[in-house]
Amino acid sequence: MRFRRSWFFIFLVLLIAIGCGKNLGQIFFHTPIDQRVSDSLSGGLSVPTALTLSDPTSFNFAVFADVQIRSENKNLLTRFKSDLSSKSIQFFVVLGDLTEDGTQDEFTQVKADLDQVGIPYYITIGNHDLFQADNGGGWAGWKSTFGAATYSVTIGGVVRFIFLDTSSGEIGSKQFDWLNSQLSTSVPFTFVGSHYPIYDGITPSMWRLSSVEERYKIMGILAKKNVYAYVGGHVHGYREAQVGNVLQFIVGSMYPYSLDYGAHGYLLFHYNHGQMTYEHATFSDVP
Amino acid sequence: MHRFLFFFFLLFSPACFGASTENFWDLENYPRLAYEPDSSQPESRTAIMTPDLGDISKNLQELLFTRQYEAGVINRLLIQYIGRFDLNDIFAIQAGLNLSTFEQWGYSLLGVTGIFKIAPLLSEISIGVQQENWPDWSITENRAVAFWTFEPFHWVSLMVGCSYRAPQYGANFLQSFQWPTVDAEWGPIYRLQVNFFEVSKFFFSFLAWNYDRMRFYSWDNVHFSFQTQFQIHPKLRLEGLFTTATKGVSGGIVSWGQNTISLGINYAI
Repeated sequence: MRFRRSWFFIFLVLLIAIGCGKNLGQIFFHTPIDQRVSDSLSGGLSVPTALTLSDPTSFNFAVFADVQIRSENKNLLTRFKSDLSSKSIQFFVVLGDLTEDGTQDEFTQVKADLDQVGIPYYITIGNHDLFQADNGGGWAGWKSTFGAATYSVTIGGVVRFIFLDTSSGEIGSKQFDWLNSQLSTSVPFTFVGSHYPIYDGITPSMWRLSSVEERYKIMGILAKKNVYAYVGGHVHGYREAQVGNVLQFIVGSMYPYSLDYGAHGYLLFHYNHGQMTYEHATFSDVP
Repeated sequence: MHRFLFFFFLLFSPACFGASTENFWDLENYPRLAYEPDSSQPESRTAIMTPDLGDISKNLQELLFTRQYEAGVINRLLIQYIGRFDLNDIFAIQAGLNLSTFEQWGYSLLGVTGIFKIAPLLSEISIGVQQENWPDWSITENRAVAFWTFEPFHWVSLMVGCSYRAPQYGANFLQSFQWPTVDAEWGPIYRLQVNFFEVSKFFFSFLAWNYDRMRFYSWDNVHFSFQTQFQIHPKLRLEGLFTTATKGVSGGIVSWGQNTISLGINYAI
């Protein structure tokens, strides 16, 4: 009986360690969040600059996530590009998971795809983009291809995007400190954007920030600092809710394969003379 | 530090199985903190492994000092009290009170749980309500829990159940007893305890949980604990609990930024 219990326990430990068939290097060993944030804020990585709007009193922009290109480069960016003119989209935001496996080849390909859309864009990193750890992809590949993942940009003096790196499922102490410093100044419409969402409905979801206290801390900060909206991805679907005085979005997915729920699409914001409205733009022609 | 704890545990635990203790499986010698067998009655196996105590523990009082650390989120000392009061052979009540110091000063948690004991099934059914409070963030959370605790063998305890948690933002004390639905969430709760080693008066256990002593985390924020207890008196044990937790499971990139150390005493009144 002693040995039966021993083997049961060892089996349980190994089952946890193996973790659904993924290798331990990918699961456990990656550049820590504080290191990634330090790299982003060091000044040594490229940071996108704010575009100059032709009409800063009225403009539209799109927000989406989870492009997740693979080696065959199937993606919905061409379909999105066809909406630019009809919806007067001036720039777009991508909230992580640009690639499926985080390889350098995928980073190079998706950058070319994003550039081909033809308008300015702002991006941050997702969990898939970290998958190759430091072996020629992952965080090292992201830095060399795109630059910083934690940064802030203000458009037209009225819309500010603060991008957080939550690709490893946490925010971390340096990023919280930086977020507080960014929010010490106000802009009419501040968006905090990151890959992991805070809100994901009433059912038990593993697709938002795991730690309850981490979610509550950032919710407390967003509420006190009058942030307009928190936008996230990771869930391949669309959600919206007003939680306290902060809008919570999961922005809809550009994932080119099957979705968790809903239709393919993106979140479209309209700024017009001090007012902000939004709609969920879907691709009804995409199965 | 947290990686060291986790891998130390992975290495240490299998090695412990090689050690032999004469009384490892001897139920008679497994210490009973509060159960005093009545020699006039046939002994019945009603042992229910209440959390962190290897055997039936009527009227168990626990006092823990817990240093809770989560990088960038919280770093505080919790003073935790969990008291169980067995009213009869069928029903018990458990009350909980946590005080927070160094951060989120003040009361951190209030809770009460009704426990229905089903001895022939080696089970307990518990239903409880709690309120947890984070004054620095102006957030309170009300939650209801219901769970089944089952001890199929003497060395393992399983607990499964469900919960409903409803946070409130910016509420004052009276408002905080409402149950809003906007950001509420249903969810599973679970706890597994395996007592894997015992020598002399020391007891060692492994736990995997998202609910323990009225502290409740989301189901993918798995907490792993290594627990050691030392029985210094038939009714008194010292306890140490070392815990780390996973974040980012859904993304396949796991982080270990939550670590807790608890030291305390268990006493059966």
